Formats: sequence, C-alpha cells, structure tokens
Amino acid sequence: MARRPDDRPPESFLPLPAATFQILLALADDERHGYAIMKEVADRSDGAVRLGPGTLYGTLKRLLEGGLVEEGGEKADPELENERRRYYRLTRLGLAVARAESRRLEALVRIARRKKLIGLGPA
Amino acid sequence: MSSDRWYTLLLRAYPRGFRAQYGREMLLVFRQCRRDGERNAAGFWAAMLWDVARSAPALRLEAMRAQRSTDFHPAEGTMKTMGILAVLVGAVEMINSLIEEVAGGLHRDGLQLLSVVLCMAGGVVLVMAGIAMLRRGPRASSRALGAAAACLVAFALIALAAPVMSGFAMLLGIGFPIVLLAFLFWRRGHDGTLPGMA
Repeated sequence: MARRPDDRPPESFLPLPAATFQILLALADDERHGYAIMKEVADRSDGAVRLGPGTLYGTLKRLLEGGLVEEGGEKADPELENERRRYYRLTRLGLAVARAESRRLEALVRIARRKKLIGLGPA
Repeated sequence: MSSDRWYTLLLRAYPRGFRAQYGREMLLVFRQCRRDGERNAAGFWAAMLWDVARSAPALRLEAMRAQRSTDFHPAEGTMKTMGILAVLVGAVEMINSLIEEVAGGLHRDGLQLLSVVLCMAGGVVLVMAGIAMLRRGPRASSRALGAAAACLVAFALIALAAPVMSGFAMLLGIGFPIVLLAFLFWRRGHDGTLPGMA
C-alpha cells in the first residue's frame, strides 16, 4: 500500500536540494506568494541565490505533492492592480523536514568548525 | 512583441498541466521581476532563458512518467498487439485464398471452392476483429471472440471438407484463433470483464 506523505519520517526527505531548502526557509515564519518567496531568498542571501519562476514553481509543485507545503488561499495584490495571488505555507511535515535539514547542516558545520575549516577569523 | 508575450511563448516549454496550474502565477512573477529586476535587458532575458532551460526538461520528464504510470495497462498493450496480429493473419489468409483460387483455376470441385471461400471469410473476420481491437470500441472483446470462434470453425471445416490450403495457412487459421481465444480469456481474468461483455 502507498504511504501518505505524512507517514514518511522527515529524515527520509534529506538531504534537500538547495532550492527546496531555501523555499522552506522562506515559508518558515509566514505564508507567502511566489514573488515574495523569491524576494525573501534573494534578500537573505544578498542576491547570491536567485530563483527563477520556473525553478520556484517547479519546486513548489513538488513540495505540494510531497505534502511539505500547502496552498493558503488567494489574495488580491494591490502592487499588481489587485491581481489575485496564490499564497503558500508550510505544513507540519514541511516544518519538521526544514528542522531536520537544519539539524543536519548544523552537525556538518560543527564538524567543519572542529576541523578548523571555519570559525578562525577571515580566510 | 511585448515582454509578456515573449515569456508566454517561453512557458510553452513546460508541460501543459503545469502551465495550466502555475502559468498565470509565473507570468505575474515574471512581470514583477521585469519591473524590479536589473535594468540590463540582455542579462534579464539570459537569466529567464537559463531558468526555463534548467527547470522545463525535468518537469516534462516528470509529466511523461506520471502520464505513463496512469496510462499503462498491460492488458491494453497486449490487446493492441493482438489486434495488429489479427489484421496481419487475416490479410495473409485472404491473400492465401486468392493465390489458391488462381492456382486451382477452373479445375476444382465444389468442396475445394468452398474451402477457398471459407478461407477468405476467415481472413475477413480476423481483419475486422483486429480493427475492432485496435479501435478499442465498447464491444471490441466480444467481436474478437466471435471472430476467433468463426475463424476456428471455418478452418476446421476446410480441414474436414477439402484440405486444399497450404500447411502454413492451416496452421495460422487454426492456431491463431486458439491463441486469440486464450488471450481473451486471460484478459477476462486480468481486468474482470467477460469477453462478451467488455
């Protein structure tokens, strides 16, 4: 019998592709529409990570299918002549996966620090 | 042409279902990127093209896989193969009956003529059964069942009355309907439909 996405342990989704983790991070504190996710990611990374519309919506589609993200409804956007925009938010599973990936990366950073690859001042 | 139109053209690289679900949103995001993004138009369009080139093939592949997994029914694939075989075997039998007719000329008795006619009739019903199976109409299975039975009876009569046909024609004429009948009963077990009621 096929397992529902909710049945999968969060660790089974790891490691996450970079774009996927960026989107989960953008949705961790609030629901957002596509462009707001894109802006959040670009601003947080000082422009180093830029998601194009195709990458963004392709990843959102997979996250929706995996049950990590859900649609939060549509709202009119005054910035775009009140065009209706679809909002996305994390599900409980999505939040658990984002936390698990953060812990995984934290453990890696701890190892890198122990091996004095980082944390010794400017390289 | 406006930049919106160009981007709408680019969106055609994505699968139809994906466009239907996210195309409008992607266009809105594109507009905002165009408005708020870098002033260099060449750089902006290069980034958009790179984004499409990077994301569209994977989404197309996913859509094809999903389509295949929903469309694939082993019994349907075999039905098509059997339909093609029925048309081919039927055509061979029809050609064979014509050859026998020409070879026999005027020196044949009534039973031999009956054999040729029965062989032609067997070939015709097999071709019709094959076409029905390929068109997958509501009564394809029942037609194929009837055709297989009729063909089997026709060639059994030929074998009994006047075996003027070649061994190969007889083997095909009797063997193929048996295989077709076996397939139709296997299919009944596979999808739960009775051959006469599919």
